[in-house]
Amino acid sequence: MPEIKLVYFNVRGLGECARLILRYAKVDFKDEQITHEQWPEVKPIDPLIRLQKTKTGKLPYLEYDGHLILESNAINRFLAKKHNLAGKDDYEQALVDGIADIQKDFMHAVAPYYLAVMGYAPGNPNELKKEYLDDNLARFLPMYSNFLKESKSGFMAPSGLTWVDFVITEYLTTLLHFDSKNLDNHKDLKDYIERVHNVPQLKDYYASRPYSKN
Amino acid sequence: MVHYKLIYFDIRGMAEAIRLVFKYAKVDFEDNRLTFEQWPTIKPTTPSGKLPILEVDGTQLIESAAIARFIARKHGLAGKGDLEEAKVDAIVDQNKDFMAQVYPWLLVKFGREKGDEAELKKTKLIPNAEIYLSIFQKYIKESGSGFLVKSGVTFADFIISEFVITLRQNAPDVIDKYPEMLQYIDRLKALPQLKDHYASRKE
Repeated sequence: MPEIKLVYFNVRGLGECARLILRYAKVDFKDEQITHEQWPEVKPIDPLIRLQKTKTGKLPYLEYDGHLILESNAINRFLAKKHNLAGKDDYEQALVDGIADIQKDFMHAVAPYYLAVMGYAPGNPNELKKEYLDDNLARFLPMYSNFLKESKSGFMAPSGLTWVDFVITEYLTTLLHFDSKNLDNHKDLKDYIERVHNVPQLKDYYASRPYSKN
Repeated sequence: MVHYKLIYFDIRGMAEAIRLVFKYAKVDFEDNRLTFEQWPTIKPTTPSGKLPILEVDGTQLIESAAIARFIARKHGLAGKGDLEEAKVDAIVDQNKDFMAQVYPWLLVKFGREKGDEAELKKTKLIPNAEIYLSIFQKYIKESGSGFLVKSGVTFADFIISEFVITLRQNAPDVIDKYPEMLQYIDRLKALPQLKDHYASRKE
């Protein structure tokens, strides 16, 4: 049995998908969570030491059987492949990869708004909202509705649940935490979140995990 | 025989890495290049309103890295073994972050957005080039293969080098400070399977 340790902040963010995959597969792992206050200690000030472990000084990272794996989607795909959550064949895996990349674009596009809301970046949220949030919700949410409609499985891939469903529903959940009206006009996406949260292997985890705004 | 049709604009952009995977693996493909004038009519018919798209076996694949990975996997160019595949994926994602950080400057430099080019070059390009090009140079040094990972050329090399080539075209003073990256790009351009393509393509 390989020894597995996931290191990330004590939020859902970009680490939650890996947690969900491992719990779905009932694989034991150490879920090391770091508070933002602790982060400067784990990430020493000396840039050379910081880079040694994580190369970019970013989280999450995964230690798997003595190997270090970086970047949330690389971690997610690596784990998903081992547990039938990557897509049933190479075409489906490419579809899943493509949707995950769209999600990254969505997240990056909206970021200037939410970073300003959270005080991590400069700017007046009210001035940023239309261009960075509203316009991008209008652009990306219909795409997700479309993918769901085409797959017919209730998940993003025709064959059923894959890792990208975790990534997307986590972000949609974050959008709802910031404003419960963000998914108005998208009942299908609210239903989609419910569907993923009701996956038998994960129902209990979703019901009992601590609240994390983002 | 599977028929591949790659659809993109007549530029390197986000499709060139895919073209390089095909050419390096010596796999035939239809290189369908649209003009910008044709795009508005075609855009609504696409899955996500964006290019590149790869049409194969009646399916349309989207997203440049997903397409590159799909073709690369079939030809031993995605990394050897699951751990190396994960490393290749991580490097491609790090480059995506690099691009996201630098794009605000690049779009102004291209004239596609308004802004203070000199200020953005100082705040966006220079510090991120230092972070990411240092990391990529470290990977190349550690791999021992002359490329990003130990087993040799992968699709990550094509994705990263194309972006650095674009950055160098627009800010040679910044990129020339990373000679190991320049040597790495020359090493790719000298690959026998690709020499002619690099020498004759439009910049």
